[in-house]
Amino acid sequence: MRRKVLWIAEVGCLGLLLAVSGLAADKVIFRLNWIPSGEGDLAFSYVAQELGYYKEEDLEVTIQIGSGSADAVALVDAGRVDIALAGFESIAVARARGAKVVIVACFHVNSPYTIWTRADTGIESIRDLAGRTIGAPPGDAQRVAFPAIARATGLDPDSVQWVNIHPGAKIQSLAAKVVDATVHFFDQMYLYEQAIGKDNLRYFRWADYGVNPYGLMFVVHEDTLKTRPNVIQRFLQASFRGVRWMILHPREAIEIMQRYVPEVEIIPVTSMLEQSIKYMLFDNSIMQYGLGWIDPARIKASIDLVNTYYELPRKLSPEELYTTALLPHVTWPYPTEFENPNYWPLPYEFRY
Amino acid sequence: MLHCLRIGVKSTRVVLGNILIKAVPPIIFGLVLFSIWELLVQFGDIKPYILPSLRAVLRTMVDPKWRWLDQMWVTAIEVLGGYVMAASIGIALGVVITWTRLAQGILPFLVIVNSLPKIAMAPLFIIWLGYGIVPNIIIAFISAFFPVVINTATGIINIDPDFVNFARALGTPQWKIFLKIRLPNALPHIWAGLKISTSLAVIGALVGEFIAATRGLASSILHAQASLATHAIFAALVWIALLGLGLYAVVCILQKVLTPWAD
Repeated sequence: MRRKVLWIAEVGCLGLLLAVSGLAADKVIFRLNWIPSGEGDLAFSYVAQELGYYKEEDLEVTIQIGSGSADAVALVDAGRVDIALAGFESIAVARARGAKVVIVACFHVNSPYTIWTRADTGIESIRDLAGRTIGAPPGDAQRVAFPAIARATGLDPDSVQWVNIHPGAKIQSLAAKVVDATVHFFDQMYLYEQAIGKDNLRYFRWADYGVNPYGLMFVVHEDTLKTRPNVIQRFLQASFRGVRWMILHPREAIEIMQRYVPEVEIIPVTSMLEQSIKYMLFDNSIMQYGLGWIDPARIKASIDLVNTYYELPRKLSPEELYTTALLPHVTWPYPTEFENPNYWPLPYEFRY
Repeated sequence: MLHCLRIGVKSTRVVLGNILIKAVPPIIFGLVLFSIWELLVQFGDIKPYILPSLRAVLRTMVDPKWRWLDQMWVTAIEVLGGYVMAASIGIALGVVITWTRLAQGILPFLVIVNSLPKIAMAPLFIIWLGYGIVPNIIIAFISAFFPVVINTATGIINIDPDFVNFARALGTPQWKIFLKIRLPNALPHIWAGLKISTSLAVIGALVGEFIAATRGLASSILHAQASLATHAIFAALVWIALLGLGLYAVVCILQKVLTPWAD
């Protein structure tokens, strides 16, 4: 009798093990476009990890720190990562050159592209850049697409002199007067103010001049889209829940990110996040359609910019580059969710 | 016995004296340099993100937030892994290319591989081999192996022909000539190659980390760059220098212990 009971117990345990193994979470490798110390809005993924949003969607997510959009797209195309965050131009250029990558959601609805300069250079408009030096590495997206903003403002793009500098040396080069201007994301405001001084700093946002391509996007491989669409959709749902929480609690989001990446400095990175929330993550289409929305007219305009200014082997079409089939169902926070609804759509009065 | 003891004490004094004589000038030079650095920062109105003070750098070197020991451990594994591969494969290749004319045919390819910019190859390794320590070990290996190969081959080939001819005249087989004459003759050259390769292995590992790594001293530099924490960049550079110096010292000690005559 005792033997029978033991035998039943053993078989039961074995059956349970087999059942549980079939219920193991789906593994996802997610690569960021850059390092968290340099981009505050990447905190959403760490928020989703910490608050269990990925776990609720039955996902086991590994977050990889990035080294640039081009690398992120290449790794997606090579099948080394399942999903990545990357700049729109990097994705489009890779697609035109044969990479089988597809955009599945939008992160930055507004372009982060900004030209930075010092007041003591005498540059008071983009047209004043004629004959001046701008520092940026050769493959920098703003450098490549510079003719777009130049033509929109009446500047001859060939009249500026480009100086090759490492991305990590842009701010220092401008502060040390090595160059007259640099090109950088708008969320770097705090660091530029620290280096150059608020009174001596001048900037020109591309979006203010009507040149507003999409910024960072979520990108996957075509095969992943076919074989694991449900996993990608659940990942996006959990990630954008993290974005939503991040919008409501910017400082806390950066503190969570610092637990995973101790090198993150709270004050500058929180400032980067605030800039991003106010200027890059929000526009009216997000209010209407929810976070992650890809507007057909906006993406067409972004593709036209890439087709015009990048040397591509062929022209891109919108249909091959993106899909809205897996968009999450996450709204921008409602006024009642903010401590002070007067600041809506922002969580509180930002310095910037 | 007392006489021997006196000689021993005198020898120790001489050795210590020699060490002091060699150590004092660089110590004095270092003190002068660091004093100028501190004075420049204090009174020269230099912004900390351009040149941080020495005190700020030293404080950052022991700041637990930057996890220096963890980061150094990762970089050290990459450096040592690449270096050991470079040393063993480099010496073996150096021997092989001197053995037959056919094997010498790989030398041009080695020169080509060595000439390729590692910073351009690193992203390819990440895509081919994945993300982590392994691609950085490979990059460290590729950076470091060439001097070992060339120095090994040079040492084996460049020998007084009279030694070899004499050995042949006595009917010594080729393998014995290699083991007893050529290889010992090559050892000073091999050690020279191994010493040169220590810094190349460090550079190679860091190149890989700069391209794609979540850990390691180069990834600390990237984090520091992103938040204008120049003091942390300097601190990382000091740790990198110590790592390179440490490896070089180990190679020197090994040479003194294993082949004290091959200096």
